[in-house]
Amino acid sequence: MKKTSWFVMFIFVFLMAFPQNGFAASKTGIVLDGKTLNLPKDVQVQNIKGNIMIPIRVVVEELGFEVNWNKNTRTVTIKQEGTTLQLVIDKTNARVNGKNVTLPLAPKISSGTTLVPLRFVSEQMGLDIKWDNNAKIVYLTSPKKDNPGSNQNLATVGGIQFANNQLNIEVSKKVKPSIFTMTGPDRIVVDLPYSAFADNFSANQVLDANNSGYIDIVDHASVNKIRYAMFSQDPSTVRVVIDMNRASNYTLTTNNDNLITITLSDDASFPVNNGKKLVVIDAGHGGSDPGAISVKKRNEKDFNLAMALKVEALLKNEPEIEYVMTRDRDVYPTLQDRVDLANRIGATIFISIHANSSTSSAPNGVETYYTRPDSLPLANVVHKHLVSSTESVDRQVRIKSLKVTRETQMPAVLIEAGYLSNVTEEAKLFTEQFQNKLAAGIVASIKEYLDVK
Amino acid sequence: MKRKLWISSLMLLTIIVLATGCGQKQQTSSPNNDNNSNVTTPAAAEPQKPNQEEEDQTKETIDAYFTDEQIMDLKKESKEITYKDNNEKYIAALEALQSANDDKLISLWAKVTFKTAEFKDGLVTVDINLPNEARLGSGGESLAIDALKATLFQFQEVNEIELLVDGAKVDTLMGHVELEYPMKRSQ
Repeated sequence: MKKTSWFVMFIFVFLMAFPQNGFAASKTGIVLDGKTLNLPKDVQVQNIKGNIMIPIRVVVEELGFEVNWNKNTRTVTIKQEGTTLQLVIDKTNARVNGKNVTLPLAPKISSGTTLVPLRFVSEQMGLDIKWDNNAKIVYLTSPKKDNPGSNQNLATVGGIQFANNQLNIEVSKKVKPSIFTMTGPDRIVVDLPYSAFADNFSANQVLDANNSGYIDIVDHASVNKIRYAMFSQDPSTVRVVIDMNRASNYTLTTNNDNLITITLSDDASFPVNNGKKLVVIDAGHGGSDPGAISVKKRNEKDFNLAMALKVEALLKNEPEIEYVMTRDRDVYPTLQDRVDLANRIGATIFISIHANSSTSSAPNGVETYYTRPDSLPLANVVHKHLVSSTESVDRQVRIKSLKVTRETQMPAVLIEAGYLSNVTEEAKLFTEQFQNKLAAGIVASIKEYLDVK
Repeated sequence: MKRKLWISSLMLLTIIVLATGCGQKQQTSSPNNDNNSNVTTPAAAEPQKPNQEEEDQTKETIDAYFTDEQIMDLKKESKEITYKDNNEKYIAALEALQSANDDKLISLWAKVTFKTAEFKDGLVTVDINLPNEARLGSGGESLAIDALKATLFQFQEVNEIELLVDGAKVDTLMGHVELEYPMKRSQ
């Protein structure tokens, strides 16, 4: 009893540990570039008069050649890399690229399977052959160009990342990228000649069956997506595309042979303050940061964006005022990104649009925040219009150390347009009428402060 | 047949050990979530333990900070906290921010979960979970951070605070005020 139990246990454990071993016993076999090909159960390699015959199925499925079978003429056509073989069943006469050759043995049909002479097919396709007669195993070695080792001539792309306004492409050796821009939609195209994706690329990043993939970029104001694919086979070229919602200049840096960096000069397409009046409109929160959640579970970030877009629409009609949006969709630029943008382009004024929230339901009304003393005149003008356009409770101009109003280098204010935690005010904030009046109020305050008629 | 029984028992034991192992892992993955009184005081160890435990508890009156109903200013209220040892003091103080005795005072931290607050070399590292419902406006966020700082810096040994959200440093807590790592006691 003991012995049998332990034996059964042992077999069970063994099978668990080595599940493949139970299926490894074929009588004949084919090893391609060191890899044992899985022959179907009913398929055997046959040695007929010293000629090794292999099933056509193996040729197709394992060696990866293109095979056509014409039933009427009983002709097998095998194609690979510019070589075409035509074999006819039971005929020793075959054709290689249209020229007649004589086979040592005719292809035949054996128990429903078409067998072709391996040596002829393989040699014509450039495979090196060794036959181990004792083990009944055919060793095939594919030519250099098909060998994975031939990738040594190509640079391999190990990873593609986009962060901090930079596209980073890791390569195994020096690549001379060619970069160009395209429009409709705006994009930057990076071609890497003599390159391929590294074998482990797909371990870390998406790479589908067509050797392509993409990264969604959710935290950048102008970049939507990074796409990458095998663009060409000759020469082997990986293409990486930066999809954008507006054009941008870029700089290419290759600090070492293993890293290609494309840095976007994000503001290049923005107006630079050249004496004109340049307003930054900042819709608060966005993307991963929903802002406050209203009593009816609506997100502050959506209110802020809707308001910013309404202000934008009105500013389009003001030829004397130029404007830049920190975001025009549901993304999260960090507070630092917003500050950097305004400072980089030398904005004249900065207005951040928010809606408020409190732990208690009581507070309602509008507030305007500033941090630096030079922002106070702007705060007073904006707040005056905020109160008159909303007809809400005046909760005063306030001073607080908020990142975007403190670190910007131009008069900067942050408006809190009403309390999402107050039932009555929340309902009001999400009406078209309120939003239109508030947008008009904000634009009126911009015009008054900038002295635009 | 005895053998068969023995093997079955062995297998059962293995399953039990594996299952217990999983259980332990779950426990350790949520450290300090609550006070550890159950763990540190085995009930049967000493019969007098309950009384002694009460004596072990330190009671301290601290200042906790809230705001008024109109969310205008920071308001101070004296609150009594109890804790067993210094490791529990800071989280007890933070949890005191979550409800005021005076019902005219409004908590700025009511909907936040304080997960851990650990003290080392003058630095208190606070880890919180911030549900979206806990997000306040500009004024509320400023006051909330002021309340946290005022509460922890009343302890003379605390010179620095780091506030983590689910274990991670973040650029801002609620999207208006940046978080500094560390926040330092202002001179």
